[in-house]
Amino acid sequence: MSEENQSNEPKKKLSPALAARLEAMKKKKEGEEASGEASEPKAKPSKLSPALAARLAAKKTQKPGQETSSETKAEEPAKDPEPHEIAYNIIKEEFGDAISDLDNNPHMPFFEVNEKSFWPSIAYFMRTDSRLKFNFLSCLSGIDYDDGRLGIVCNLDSIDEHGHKLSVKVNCTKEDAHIPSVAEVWLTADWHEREAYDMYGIVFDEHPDMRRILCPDDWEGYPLRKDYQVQEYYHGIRVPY
Amino acid sequence: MQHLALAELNSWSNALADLGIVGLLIIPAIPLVFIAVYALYYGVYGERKVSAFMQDRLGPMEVGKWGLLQTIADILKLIHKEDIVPKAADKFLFVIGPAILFVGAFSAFAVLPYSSAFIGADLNVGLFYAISIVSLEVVGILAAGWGSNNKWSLYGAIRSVAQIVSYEIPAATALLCAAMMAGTLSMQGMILEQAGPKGFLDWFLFQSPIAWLAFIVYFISSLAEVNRAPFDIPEAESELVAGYFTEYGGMKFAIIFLAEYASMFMVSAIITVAFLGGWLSPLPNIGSLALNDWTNGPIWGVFWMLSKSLFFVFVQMWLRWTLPRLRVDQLMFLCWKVLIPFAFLAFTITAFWEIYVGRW
Amino acid sequence: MSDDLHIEPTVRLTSVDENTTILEKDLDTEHMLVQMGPQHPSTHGVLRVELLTDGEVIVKATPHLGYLHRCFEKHAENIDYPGIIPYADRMDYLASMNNDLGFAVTMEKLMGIEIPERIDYMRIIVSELNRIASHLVAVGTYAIDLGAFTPFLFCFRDREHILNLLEWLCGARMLYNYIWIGGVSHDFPPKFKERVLEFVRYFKPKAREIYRLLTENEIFVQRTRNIGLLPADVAINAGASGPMLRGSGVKWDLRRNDPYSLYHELEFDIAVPDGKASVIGDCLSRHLVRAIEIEESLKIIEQCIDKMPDDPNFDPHATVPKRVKPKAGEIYGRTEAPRGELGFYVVSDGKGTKPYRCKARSSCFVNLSLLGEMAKGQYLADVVAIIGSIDIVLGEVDR
Repeated sequence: MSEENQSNEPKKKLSPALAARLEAMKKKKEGEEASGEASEPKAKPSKLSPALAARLAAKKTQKPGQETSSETKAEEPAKDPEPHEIAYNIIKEEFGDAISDLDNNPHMPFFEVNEKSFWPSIAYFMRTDSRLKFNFLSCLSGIDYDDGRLGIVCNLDSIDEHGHKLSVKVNCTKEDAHIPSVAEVWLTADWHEREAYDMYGIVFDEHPDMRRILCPDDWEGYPLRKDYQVQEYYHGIRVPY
Repeated sequence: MQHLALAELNSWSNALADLGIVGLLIIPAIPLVFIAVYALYYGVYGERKVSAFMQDRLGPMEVGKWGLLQTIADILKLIHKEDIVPKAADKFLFVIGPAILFVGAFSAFAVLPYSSAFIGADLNVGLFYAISIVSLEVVGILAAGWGSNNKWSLYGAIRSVAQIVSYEIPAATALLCAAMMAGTLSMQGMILEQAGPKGFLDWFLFQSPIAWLAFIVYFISSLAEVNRAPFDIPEAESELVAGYFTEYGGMKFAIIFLAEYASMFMVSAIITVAFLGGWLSPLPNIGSLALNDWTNGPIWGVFWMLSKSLFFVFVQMWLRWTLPRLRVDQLMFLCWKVLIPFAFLAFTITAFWEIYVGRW
Repeated sequence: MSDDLHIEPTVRLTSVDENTTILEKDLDTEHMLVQMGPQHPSTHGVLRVELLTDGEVIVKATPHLGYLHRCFEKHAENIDYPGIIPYADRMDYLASMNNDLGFAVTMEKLMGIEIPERIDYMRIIVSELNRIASHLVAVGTYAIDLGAFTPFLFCFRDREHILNLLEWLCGARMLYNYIWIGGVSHDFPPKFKERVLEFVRYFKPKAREIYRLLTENEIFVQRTRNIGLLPADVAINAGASGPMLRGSGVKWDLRRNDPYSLYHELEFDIAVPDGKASVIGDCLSRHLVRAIEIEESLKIIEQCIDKMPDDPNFDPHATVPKRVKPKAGEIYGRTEAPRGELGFYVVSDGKGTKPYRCKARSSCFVNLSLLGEMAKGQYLADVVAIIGSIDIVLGEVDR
């Protein structure tokens, strides 16, 4: 498998500009963490009422053995690294600058993959490393960022093993809409990637069966893109009515 | 009973035959009318009502009191449908399929003994004729399946052929047990051998310690012969839409339908004749109450024969709505590895019983 | 009809490159290409399965979807959040309450809305009732696929009672639009709780009867035992969830492992087969999981009715926000629908009342992708059994 080869070879050198940017981001992140604040989340954590906080605390004590995901947590003063942070740090250790920093928002903590060619090896590592064991891919959605970028968002889970959750984003541009496929790592990705191709036009390289899944095979255009114009006629039938 | 046998056997058929051509035409017309009435009423209406009551619902209730005219409505609908032959179908085979099916089913009625006085043709190889003419249906099914030009119909037809051909072996072997006990293959002859003052105890089912096994083997095999659940893989509704008769509609469908109900009645009649005394009364002569003599006669015979056969048709319907269907390989397993050994076992034991013990 | 009515096989020739060999041409004389077409009594909807068979044995099974695609995700980007609920209903139309619940729970997490306990209990009661109704359809139609016509009608008779209860509650029998973001649309009518308890008491022995009717039937067991084996690691890797995953022995239920609403306070067991009546991972295990889940849902309903607080001045719309305008953010919220994990990935750009992206991760879509794996080497008649045991609803597969 090409993914295995990639993880054994030395990592590709990043371009100097990109490397500098990543360094700056990392420094900023370290500086923020030192001062004890969380990095800027996309949505602020909501203030919990005492009742809800008590319910969630009760929920945690009822399942002591299982590490729950980091959903909305009450603001606790002591910052034990949450399970997904530990997982992220392991991945960061392995791949370094190929992935971005962890966006630790309370709803859906995620990190982005900067170098999309590393994506299959990251995926394989996340699935097979014994400390991570992300064996369940919940969902792989395509998304159109409306600024010339397309991307996918993968929600990963570790069921029956560690119980941590993490999400990964991989981006590409509209002109070069190619992302390497992880269908061999998680079978779920097979059909989800076909759907992303169908809806957004992202071609997944080395996918075993890259063709449309929901739209007919000879449909024109990629429906969920923000700039999608529906076709006039399909086999003689007028489409917009 | 002896006076009954010698004096009146086949009296009505012979009388009709003496009338010349007209009489000879009336003889086959009677079973045909019977099939029509039975299939319409007992077959279609009865099946719908039986299935409805078993499924906790009412069945047809609108047309006529208790839905009794429902079948007439169905027949009218089927008759006035357009007769469609698919463009890519093999026209000749498509049309001839249902015809052969019906001929195969109906021809067997020639040897059906309705009573001591009436039988279409009292062949001295009646039983053999009955079970072999029914095999003509196989040709009809293949013609229908291949002629439909439809892969699913073909699947259904092939499965059906495999099933019918395989299940004839245990069926025939089990019937041979009855033939051995009777010493004759003639239908009327077998029934006469079961005549006696003891009523139902004189029937072959109770005359041999192993007859019950032959009875059960034949009953199960006959279910497979008529493609009836749990052996209805060839017409498995949920897998093959309707199997070999998917493409048929209108009158052709009605013919296939009629043929299936006719076969159901025929195998029930055969099992009645072979094991349960045909048109004989089940009531025994108890001391001075000569119940057996009172309830035996040409017209009583019709009543007993029909009620026993229709009871078995009811059991077939009952089984259809209760059991799921077997898969093809399980069906074949049942035939070759379960029923055939038991059939041979019954055959052997019956043979020894007849040699050394005979009638008791 | 003239002879020049020649239809070009458009679909068969499209592929990404010449090396894609998924759609085999019908030249091999040993293998037969059969379409278990969009119209078929036992594909539970419009699903086309392309089967390459060697006699009766399946060599390859390829499902083709998209016949019921209704562009849920595109609609969702143009409609405000409360208006998405009826669309979410129509995805898995046999278990609409659970779809609504999934979306409402996800949006409430994103916006931080807190709802009173009574609303939570009401939602759980109707969701579990709908789960029972959905499993009854699954069990009934599975039986009828295999030729047992009668259990289907028994299941539907009991489902009628549930549908009557829900119609009394919110006016609709199947597509409810009952669970809103931040609340529910109607309060329980007077005496509703008593009637639900009556139903639970009536149905408990019937649920047992339905379980035994099929499990103790030798022919049914023979048709489903050791058919369509799905090993646990393949199931996890392929994202299977719900009864598919539990039928393979993995004890994973989102109501227990990732609780939402009030499920962490309720006592119920997770149904996992023990390998005695069935082989773990086969069709019979999945069927047994569903049959046992019916009984577990009855337990949950009883507990909820017990614990539900009574509130004389209760207003179901009290916590429903006037305008649902979440701040910028994204969330992936998931719930346990009867068929598996139903997830909603919602991205809000903070600028309006419509989502930027709303993806529905449907359980049946992922479960169906395993059909190709499970059907290899099985008989043609078993494909029907396998599809029935996956329990798909095409509305959810195609959205």
